[in-house]
Amino acid sequence: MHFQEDQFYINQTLQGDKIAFGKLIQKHEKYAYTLALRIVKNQEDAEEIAQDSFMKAFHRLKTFEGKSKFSTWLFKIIYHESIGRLRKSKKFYISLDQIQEKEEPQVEFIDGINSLLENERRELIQNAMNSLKPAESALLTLFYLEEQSIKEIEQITNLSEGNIKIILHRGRKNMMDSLKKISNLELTNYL
Amino acid sequence: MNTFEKDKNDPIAKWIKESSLDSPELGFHFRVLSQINSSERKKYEPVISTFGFQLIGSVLILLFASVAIFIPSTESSQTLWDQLKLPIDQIFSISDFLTIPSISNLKINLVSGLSVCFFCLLSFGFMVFRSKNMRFE
Repeated sequence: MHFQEDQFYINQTLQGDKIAFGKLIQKHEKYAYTLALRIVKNQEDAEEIAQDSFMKAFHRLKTFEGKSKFSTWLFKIIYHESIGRLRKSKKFYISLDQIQEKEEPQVEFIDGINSLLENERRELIQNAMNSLKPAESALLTLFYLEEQSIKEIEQITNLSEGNIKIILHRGRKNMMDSLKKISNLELTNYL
Repeated sequence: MNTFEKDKNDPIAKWIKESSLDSPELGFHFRVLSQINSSERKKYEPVISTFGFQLIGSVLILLFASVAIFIPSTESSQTLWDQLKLPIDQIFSISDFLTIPSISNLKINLVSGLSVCFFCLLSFGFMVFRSKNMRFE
């Protein structure tokens, strides 16, 4: 589906055209849902969070000044809505303890994962992402999948640049560790 | 600390990109739009109307003004009204009737006292006039 620039839909929505807002939802729904899912790790909750976030975005659209990208503004709403839910259930915390540096992943291991079929690899990566802490998977998703810069992630999460880099670094390490664990387990089961 | 430049050869970046986006259930945007529509239909009326608030405000202003003007601070002191030495003062003195202690033992000259009285009366009149107009708009 071909979409126009966000600002076009925003202007139309502000003039009372709800169909334009529907288009804006369609344009961003996958990104919004994926971010919520990576944080809360539950499909029903993620869909509910994405819905509530779009509702909030609609009601606050007048306050969107266009200083940042619409996606950054929307992700900020989704991120805080998601961590708000996790905080209620006391499942969210950000730990910034230094982690022990481990040896860099071996080339053979990376080649091994690359040699898997695309579907298998995708499933493996999603499982590894699900094993990460909410803050780690949220930041990895924002940085790599949704292509937000560190500055934009600062705006979204209200974390400092230093903390974002620590969490990203830790997320990468933990992801590699859980990939190793999952692939070893699968190999053991296969044997 | 690591620098986080986006490197196309970084295996983790490549794998996360490849893991692709998840999709919500079909018709997600329709559900959001219908929620927006239903939330807009619920328009709550305030329990106390604007006119009600203005009436309460007027009564409070009048109450404050009358306490300040007509009630003496102690049994022996004079009211602000009596201090104004208006000709009407010769007819009756309110302090003869009211002896409730208050905050109004102020030394105010005639002009200031009259200004306070007129200000209170005018604000009351203005608020009543405005409320009536708003009701019939």
